[in-house]
Amino acid sequence: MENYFLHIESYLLGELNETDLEEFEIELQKNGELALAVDQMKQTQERLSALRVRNKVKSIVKNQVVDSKPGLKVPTLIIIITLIGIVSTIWIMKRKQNIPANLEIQNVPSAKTDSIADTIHAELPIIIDTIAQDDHDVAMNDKNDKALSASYYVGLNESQLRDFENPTAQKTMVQQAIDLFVQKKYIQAIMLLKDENKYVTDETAIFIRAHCYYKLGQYTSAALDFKRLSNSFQYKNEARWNLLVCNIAQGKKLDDSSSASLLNSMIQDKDYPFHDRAVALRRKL
Amino acid sequence: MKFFNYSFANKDNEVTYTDHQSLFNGLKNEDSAAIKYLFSKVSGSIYHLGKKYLLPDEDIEELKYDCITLIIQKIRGDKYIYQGYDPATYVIEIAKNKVRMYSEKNKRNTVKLLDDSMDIAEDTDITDSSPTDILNRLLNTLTDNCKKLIFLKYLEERRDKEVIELKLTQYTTVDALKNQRAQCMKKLSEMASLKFTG
Repeated sequence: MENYFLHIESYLLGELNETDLEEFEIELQKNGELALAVDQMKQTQERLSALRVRNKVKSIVKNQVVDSKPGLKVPTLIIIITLIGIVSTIWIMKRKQNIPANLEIQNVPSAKTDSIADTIHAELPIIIDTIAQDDHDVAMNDKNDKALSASYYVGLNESQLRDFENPTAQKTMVQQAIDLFVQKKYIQAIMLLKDENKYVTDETAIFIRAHCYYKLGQYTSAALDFKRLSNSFQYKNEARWNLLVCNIAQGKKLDDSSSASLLNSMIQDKDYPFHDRAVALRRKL
Repeated sequence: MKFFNYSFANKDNEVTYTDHQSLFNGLKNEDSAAIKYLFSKVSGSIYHLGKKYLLPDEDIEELKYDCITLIIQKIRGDKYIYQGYDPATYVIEIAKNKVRMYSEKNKRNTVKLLDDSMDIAEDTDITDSSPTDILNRLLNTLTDNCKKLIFLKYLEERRDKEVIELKLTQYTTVDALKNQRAQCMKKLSEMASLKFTG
């Protein structure tokens, strides 16, 4: 045996013949450098074995997850499509029967119909269509993007919600929406705040609606609302941050120029309230 | 959805391990069914544990893989001997230790961020120091030929004779293949030794 170092692997794998094994072990006892190399190689083999097992575990689990998806997705989709069909049909029939022709094209509820029930009735198909579209988008998004986005999302805190409350006066539509938000009834809250003409200048309404969209996973709509508030005196900090978080959820990371410039501006501004998070996010991306 | 995705118990072809011994033996043989079963048993507990320590979802997933890998390694290396206990309990204990270590590390490193739990979770990746990840990175620094030789032997567990017969490499004899791989392994071992022992 000429070069003992080239036979370490064979020795550890038990592939040396009897003569070579005996010769190798004699050399091992008197050669400290060889003993050290054997020890190092043994550890490397153990780590490679761990890497193999880990890859195997990951592959088995991932395959199982993929296999299990069709069985769940198909019924879920069928239920969603059926519900959309039923609701749309009912809505169209009701419209044709009860509402005068000149009101059919109007989306803005009149003073008489400005009740929660009427608003919900009028807006339900639009909302459901939007949700169906956004759900599809969400399903297409990378899971990691959504997880990353969720971990950086800045929600409404209790103090903000308390500030919105006005217990003495009769509750406005926005306050009712806030109540629904607290109860996690995000779809109903969006329905109340869906009227663009009415709430286009109401920053609190847009802010609440944006959070509702986010909670429902409708990142495109949420991003749109947060973007509107990016110059708001009251909400600009949270809005800019959550706009970035929405972009991430949609897979628009640093390869997207708007996300990159937004994040850079946050990092450069040391006084920005979410500066530390921006730095941490940059590292993560 | 997560619950349904990882729920294997109701599938028709699912193997259910009614006793701990058969699960232990299955893991020792790296049976897919045993690994799936163990994953389904510990997945929920580790998820809640990770959430308790504010780990991001992707880190929790990696933690699950790490813990299951560790128990299989210990079983195969006779460091975990069957004594009648459920292997799942052992895996959850491993997860607890790993999360505690991660938490302690963060306490030391990010004291200034203690009031902001989100930042703590994001500041350090729980899998950053995983030996398998480090080894993976080291493997990628080797030449393509070396990576291939090591991959075939240790990750795909192919026999040298098979590699030659199927012409999976440029080498035409087992001896030539072994010699080249020995050099690659020597290089990898030296790098790993520096990396792991500092």
